[in-house]
Amino acid sequence: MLTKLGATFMTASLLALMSLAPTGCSSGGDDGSDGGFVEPPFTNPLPEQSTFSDDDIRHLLSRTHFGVRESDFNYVQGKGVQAYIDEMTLFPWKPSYETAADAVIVDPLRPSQSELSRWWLQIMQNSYRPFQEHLAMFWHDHFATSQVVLDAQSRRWMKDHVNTLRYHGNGNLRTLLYKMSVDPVMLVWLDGVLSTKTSPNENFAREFWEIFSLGADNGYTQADIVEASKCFTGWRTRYDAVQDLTFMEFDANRHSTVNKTFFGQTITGRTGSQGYLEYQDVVDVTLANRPVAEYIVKRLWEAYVYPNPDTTTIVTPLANLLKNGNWELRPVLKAMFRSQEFYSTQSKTTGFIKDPVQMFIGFSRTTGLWPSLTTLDSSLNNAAHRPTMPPTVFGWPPGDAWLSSQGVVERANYIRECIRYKSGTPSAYVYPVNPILPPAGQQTDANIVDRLITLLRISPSSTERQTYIDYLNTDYNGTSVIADPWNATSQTMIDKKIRGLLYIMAQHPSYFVR
Amino acid sequence: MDKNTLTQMTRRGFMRLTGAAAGVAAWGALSDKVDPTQRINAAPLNQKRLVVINLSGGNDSLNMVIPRTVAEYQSRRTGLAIPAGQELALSGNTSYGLHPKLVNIQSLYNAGDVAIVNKVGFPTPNLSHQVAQDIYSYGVRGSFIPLSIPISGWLARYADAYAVGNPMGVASIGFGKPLDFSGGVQTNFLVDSLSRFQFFSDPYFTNNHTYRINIIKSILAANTSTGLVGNARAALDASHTLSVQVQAAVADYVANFQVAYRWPGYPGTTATPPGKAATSISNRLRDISILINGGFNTQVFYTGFGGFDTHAAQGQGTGAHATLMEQLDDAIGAFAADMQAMGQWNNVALVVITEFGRRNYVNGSAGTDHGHATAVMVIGGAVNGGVYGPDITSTDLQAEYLSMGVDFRYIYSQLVANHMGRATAPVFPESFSAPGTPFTVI
Repeated sequence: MLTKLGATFMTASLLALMSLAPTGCSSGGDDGSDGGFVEPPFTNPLPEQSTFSDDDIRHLLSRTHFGVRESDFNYVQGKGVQAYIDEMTLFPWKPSYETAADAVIVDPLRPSQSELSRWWLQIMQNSYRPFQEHLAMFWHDHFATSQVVLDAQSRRWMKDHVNTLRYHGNGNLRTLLYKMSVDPVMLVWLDGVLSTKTSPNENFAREFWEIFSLGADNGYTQADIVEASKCFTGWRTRYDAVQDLTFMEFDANRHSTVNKTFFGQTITGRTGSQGYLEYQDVVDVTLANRPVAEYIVKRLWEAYVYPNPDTTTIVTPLANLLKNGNWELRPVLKAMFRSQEFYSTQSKTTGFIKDPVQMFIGFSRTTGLWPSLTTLDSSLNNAAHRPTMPPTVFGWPPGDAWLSSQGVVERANYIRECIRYKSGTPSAYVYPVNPILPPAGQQTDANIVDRLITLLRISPSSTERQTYIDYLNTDYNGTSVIADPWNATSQTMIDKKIRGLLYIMAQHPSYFVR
Repeated sequence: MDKNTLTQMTRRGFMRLTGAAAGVAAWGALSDKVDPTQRINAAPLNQKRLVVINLSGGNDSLNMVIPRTVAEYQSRRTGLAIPAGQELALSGNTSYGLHPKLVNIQSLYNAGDVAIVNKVGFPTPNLSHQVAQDIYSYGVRGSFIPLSIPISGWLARYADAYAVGNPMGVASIGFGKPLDFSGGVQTNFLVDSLSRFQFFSDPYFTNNHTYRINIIKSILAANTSTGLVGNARAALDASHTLSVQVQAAVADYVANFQVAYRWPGYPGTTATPPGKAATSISNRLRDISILINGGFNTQVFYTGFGGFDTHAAQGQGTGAHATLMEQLDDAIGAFAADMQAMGQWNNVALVVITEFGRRNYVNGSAGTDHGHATAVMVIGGAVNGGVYGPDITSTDLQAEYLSMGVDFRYIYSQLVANHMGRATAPVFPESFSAPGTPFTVI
């Protein structure tokens, strides 16, 4: 089936609607091109930005990518911003970097905890479509589900969970809610597997509304939760001793077949193997009767643009776009990133504290300096932001909670891992620092400093810039050790100074904000 | 334990008679602006401290403080109730018993150092973890609008009122930045563990590390950014200063103190007691002990651990919840031993909270679903030991949830006023009801 679509880039939901088994996107090649995909008609309900400055481009990339790579900037500048937004909101189907990352997991049936996070981190490391991973992290925070509840016999489910977030992040919200409601990891995480007709467990039903679709105390009651929880009854795990694996299955005998009433609607109890379809009924009744669209577009806006968007001019038009567009998310993403408001002063000056994933992946993607994959994973674990392991169902703490004393130290320690990574015998730097320097002949001290400032997108004062230059050229006691034009005479001196300068610059306060 | 010194008795009697306002006059003289660098390796500051321990997830307090004489406790909790006779007895109280794992807390109670308050909660209960936790964090149940203050956590307000200019004044250990610390102006001390709270050097250019760090510090010192960048600057600046001091305190504790007091467990050697291992809560309380020993002027510590959302297979005298109880008890026992050795036991008060209690009855998964009111413990040398709050009755346990009998801010306010000697108005600006029968835990 996929070969017929081989030349077409698609959103996840289009594939889902066509009943293709593996949902996801299809790409013509492995180069990120759209493979001839024809854009459906699109009308932005928000006023559109018509011309884009270089700063607009960098703003877009800093909010939607991990760091602003010069090559990405040049590409967008050449292609045009609107065309690039069209392109970046389409996700490739099984590109080579994704297939290659599969190798991180040695036994696909029994991945380890760290293999799962390293698998995803390697995709983030190598992706030419970083927005796909950025958006998946948004949904991962939204549908926060951790692999800590899984064991060796069931941990393989987490990869599917993450892929659902990756493939459907730009797709159809109804489909995404369907999938999350019966996702095996979610069923374990929020006790769905323990929920039976004689004793429905309220945990998932409550969080489904409170966190996933409506927000706390937003139009549902405890009585509604009790009713909806009956719809989700019947799932259980089954351990297969022969294969030494756990499977998820629906047991009709454990499903509550009574009629359930909430939001003024009655769901007729389904019997037998049809019982499991009631999860779709809960999603459908919720979408039809409660302001899910408003909640979701507000969450998206607050993750990518700025907090507290205006209801009349932003939330309502975007919510209508979502509802009237059959719950397709991609038009909402396009509308956001093409809007004047996205490039407004308010958007640019409000800013967000980078979370550790954004900062770590961003630093390494822009400088080309990585630690080992294992160190990247453990650094994120130390920084309390390991993908696949959100702390609670509420996701990671938002905003400047990342600025804890510990969090600040862990960021510096990650940069230290990047600048020091050596391997082999005799040990040598795995990732050279030289490629990020200006070309030979242009290596004045100021040029080097300015290039790194642009690379990291920091905003030092002129005094601070001079301090960087002084670091480059002098040693501990202020003695000049390198002349200008920069004539570092040994590779050791280049490594010492450039790696040290990156460590210093990455602790400029402006580097913490995107 | 030094419970009967004249000073202590006088202060307690004084507090009971005169209340919070006089407390400010009596205890407000302690400086909160001591430069921590002056205190490193010195004796602990002789000052009042509060330690908040959050049992995250909603602790099943009916299995922590057991209403042993109420028949419904056994009949509605089949497979969940602590079997009759296994509870730990409380000296002078036959109505309640403690979870069998709480052996240290039992002995502290019997020494008069534990106040147990039943049926603690907040008005208009909410079964959501997030909403309930937010209310505990804010210390405000209703809207901030009539209070005319920005949305903020109670510890942020405490720090802004009583720890200005002291980056160590209010600390979170192992809990990230809880909402309790949000919305304030003051920069607070938020770390996961002291051992990782340091800027590791580049091993290939170790002789360049200090130089690099000094350049960073000089930039941070002169940078005048505002807004989010300004917040980042403040956090970076504080971390660079404090990491050096904190590592000195760690070294001091390891060199001079740890030999005598091992974690988790009891006075003895540094070896781990049989069957005991370091846990998240024991590590966190040990870090607090290190900071107190290090002479830091920290008034309030916030810590805790998770796992209390026991919807399934909760267990009884053993099992998931029992393990959590044991971890809590081991850590508090070791912490109390440390504080007594430092001569600080009368100066510290621990308050053990959770966002809500659980249902009165077992659910279909041998666990308990979210509930309302819960028991709170206040522990320390200066505490008025005993059991407080409305008794748990047969009628109570026939209901779905325990109803609120004591607003949690009634306890928090006593800790802030009577123990810390601070006026409560800036910290708890929203009015709340006193319980039907007033009491004083400290």
